[in-house]
Amino acid sequence: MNQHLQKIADFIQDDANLSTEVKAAIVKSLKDADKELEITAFKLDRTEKVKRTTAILLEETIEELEQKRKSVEAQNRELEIEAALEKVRSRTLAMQRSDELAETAAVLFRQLIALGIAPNRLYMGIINDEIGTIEFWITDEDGSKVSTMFTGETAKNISMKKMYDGWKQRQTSISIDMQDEELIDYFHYLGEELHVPFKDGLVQKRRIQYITYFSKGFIGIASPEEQPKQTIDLLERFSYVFNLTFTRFNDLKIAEAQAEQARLDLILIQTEKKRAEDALAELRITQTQLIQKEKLASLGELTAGIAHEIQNPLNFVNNFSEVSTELVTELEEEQQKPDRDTDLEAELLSDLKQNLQKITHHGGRASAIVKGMLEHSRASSGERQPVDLNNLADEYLRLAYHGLRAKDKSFNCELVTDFAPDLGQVSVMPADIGRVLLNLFNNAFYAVQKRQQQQSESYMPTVTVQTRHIDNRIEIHVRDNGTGIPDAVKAKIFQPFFTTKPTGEGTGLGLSLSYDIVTKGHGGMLTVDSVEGEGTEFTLTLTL
Amino acid sequence: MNAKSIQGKSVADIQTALAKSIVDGFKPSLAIIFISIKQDRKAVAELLHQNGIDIMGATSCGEFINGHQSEGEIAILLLNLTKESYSILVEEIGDKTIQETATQLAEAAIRKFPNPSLLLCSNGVNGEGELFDGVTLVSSLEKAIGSHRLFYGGMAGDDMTFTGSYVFTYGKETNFGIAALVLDADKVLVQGMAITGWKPMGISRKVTKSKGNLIYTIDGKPATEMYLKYLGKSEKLDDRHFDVFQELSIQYPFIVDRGDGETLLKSPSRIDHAEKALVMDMEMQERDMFRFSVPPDFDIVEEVIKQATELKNASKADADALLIFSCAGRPPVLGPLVTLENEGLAALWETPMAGFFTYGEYGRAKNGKQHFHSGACCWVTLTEK
Repeated sequence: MNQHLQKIADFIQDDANLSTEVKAAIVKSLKDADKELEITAFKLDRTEKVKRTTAILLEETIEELEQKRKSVEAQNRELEIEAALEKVRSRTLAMQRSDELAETAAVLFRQLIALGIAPNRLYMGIINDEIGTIEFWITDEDGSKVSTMFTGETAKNISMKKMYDGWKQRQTSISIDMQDEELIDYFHYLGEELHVPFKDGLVQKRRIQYITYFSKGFIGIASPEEQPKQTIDLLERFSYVFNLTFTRFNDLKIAEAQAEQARLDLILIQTEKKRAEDALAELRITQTQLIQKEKLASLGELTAGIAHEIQNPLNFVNNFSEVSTELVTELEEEQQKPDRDTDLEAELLSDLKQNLQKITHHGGRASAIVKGMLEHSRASSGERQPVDLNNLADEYLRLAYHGLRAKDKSFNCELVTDFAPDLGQVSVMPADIGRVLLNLFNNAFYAVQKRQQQQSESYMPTVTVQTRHIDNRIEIHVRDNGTGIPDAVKAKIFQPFFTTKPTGEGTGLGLSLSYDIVTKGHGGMLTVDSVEGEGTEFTLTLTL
Repeated sequence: MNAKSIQGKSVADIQTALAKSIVDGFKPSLAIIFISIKQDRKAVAELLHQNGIDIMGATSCGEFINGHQSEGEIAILLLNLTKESYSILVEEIGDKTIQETATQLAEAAIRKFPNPSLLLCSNGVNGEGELFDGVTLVSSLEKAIGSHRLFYGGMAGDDMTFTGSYVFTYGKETNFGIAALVLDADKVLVQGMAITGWKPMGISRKVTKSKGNLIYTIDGKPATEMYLKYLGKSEKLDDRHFDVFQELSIQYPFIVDRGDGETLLKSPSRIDHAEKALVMDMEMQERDMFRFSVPPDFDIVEEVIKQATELKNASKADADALLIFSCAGRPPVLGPLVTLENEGLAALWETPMAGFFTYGEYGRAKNGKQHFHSGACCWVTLTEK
């Protein structure tokens, strides 16, 4: 019990004047008072302790909440910045043409302003390192829109040189604090020389350019006051994103240039294609014409031989016609006689009949020669038929020889034929094979004639035709003892348009066509064996 | 049912008080004993047994009856309840788990009465000073006996020596087990409530690193530093003699969100300086949410009485006896108010009362679920129907 209350209790207990009941009541009240006093003392003590601890707890909690608030604000700011950067990224990805760069830059500038950047001006510079210029895209002085583009020369202004140098030195960012002369020069250069519009900027005594770089340039802000580090950091982040924008811009420019080049290439290709098609068509016509010319040329070479061949039957026809006329006259005279000799008349009629038969025979032969000539000049029917190759070779050998002789009466050549008796009928396209043989004979005669012109009279030109039936193949050898073919030429003789004859004498298609007729038309082979100065042998091989 | 509460500083005192209590013909069949570990509990049990009284007891951290609160003494509630209405079970856990033991207890209770209610005392701390896992006991018991059953009680104490606590009946005691007075709920009405009064302070916090009963970080910050700093004891961080439980956490425990709208007080019992961690009385897992707290206001007594009054008025039932399981943390925090709280409850119910200061409480908050509590005043009335 509280000592004071205890004293009272003791005092009461010692007081003899008080009754026991009264003493008990007073002592009870004293105990109650002591209890209440104890509770009050406890409450005071605990209140003090709890108050102190609670105050600390609250202070710490408030400080923590303040930190959290700042952290949340920083996070919100970061979210705002990320959202702003994302808008620039999105606009960048949406760029479809390179001329949208300025519009994308404007989006970037709007985001910076929305984030609280309050400059005089925002701008973007693209550096052309080769010619020392900076292409500027700048906003109005309030930064609201991209309104002006100009090109500054780094050599003409010290501030621009600083901007360029920062880029050259691969700086992340720089600031240019322009005052006094530098500022005057800057305003003069921009205002007077480049005619950049200013509203209030020109009255400034100080202008600080904050520049952050990307790969090919920079973005910057111009402000009369110093900007906090956060602003520069922010600008750097936007520069980093704008690097993507510029990369896309470059990609688009390349793509556009490639698209334009592709368009021009297409036009060129279409033009070239037309030209090629025209050339091809012309070539086909020319080829046709050349082939026809070759046919006609060989026909021309045949003409003299044909004329010579037809002359013989014509002579027979003429002679038998004359003899027949005489026989008819003699018969008429005999018929006028009174004593007609019927036996003689019968004999005359028989002779006349024989003559007419001979005329018919030789007329038929002339007709066959003409028919052959026509076949030679006609296109191949493509149909094979059994042919006596010995006859065909012999006939064309003579046509070729007489054709040449017709042109050059002094030319003589020994013709040697060695025909295999067992050759039989061979299934070929006779006009085509005839054309091949004629070509080979003409070449042989040309070679021996040329050698004859070069050599002494002791030289005897000889062209030999030999046929052979070996196993399941037929070989026709055309051999001459002419000039021979040099090795360098040998490889080219079957090429189209290759000729060693003087201009106008050969088409260069003779052997080429012959080669095609034998190999492609008949599945055979045409080979050459030649020694320069000794002669040449062509071998035509056909499989049965 | 009649009841009387007696107390004493010794077995002899109890013998005297018992003799005095039966002078009027009162014939108790059952005694609920709350006794200091300093007292001879076996002698007390023997005394009561010799008088034909069944007993269930628990050691305490201070004990009280109507008009008397003590430390190191004995408090007993005597009941003349018919033997058909109750049964006493003491289950030693031994090598079993708490879940298995709780299940056995529940099954035995149901075998005894189809509709049982329980008054429950488990051990509080073991010889190593480790707190009994009351959360697991409640969840296991509730699962085994049914969530609609009622059980109230407390964890045995050891006069705050953390040397070991005991629950017992006549002839059997354990320092790691459960003692239960199983009541036939059809014959005995059990009503009660648990209330703490601690109030959350500051913002919600999260355990970000923990292992078992150790908390390393809270909201990513070192837990010990944070706890001491926020409660104005930063200078004690490296003081190995600083008793964080007595000096701080007994008044400023954590209020942990149970996840069902209710809370549980969990207290740092010491600092593990080697691990730089707070050692909690109960496990806290990573991502557990909690708040720092401040002790109950002085009106907690009025609040406890007010809520008890509401329950009493709602039930329209008188009580034959009152038991109070009050957290051992309440006297240091509430001082003489604890006595007012206990006396106020006894006065409200106008009934004999006995109780003790516990290491934990079992019961239900107002309109709450069955839970293990800490820092609570958990009271329960018994009324024979």
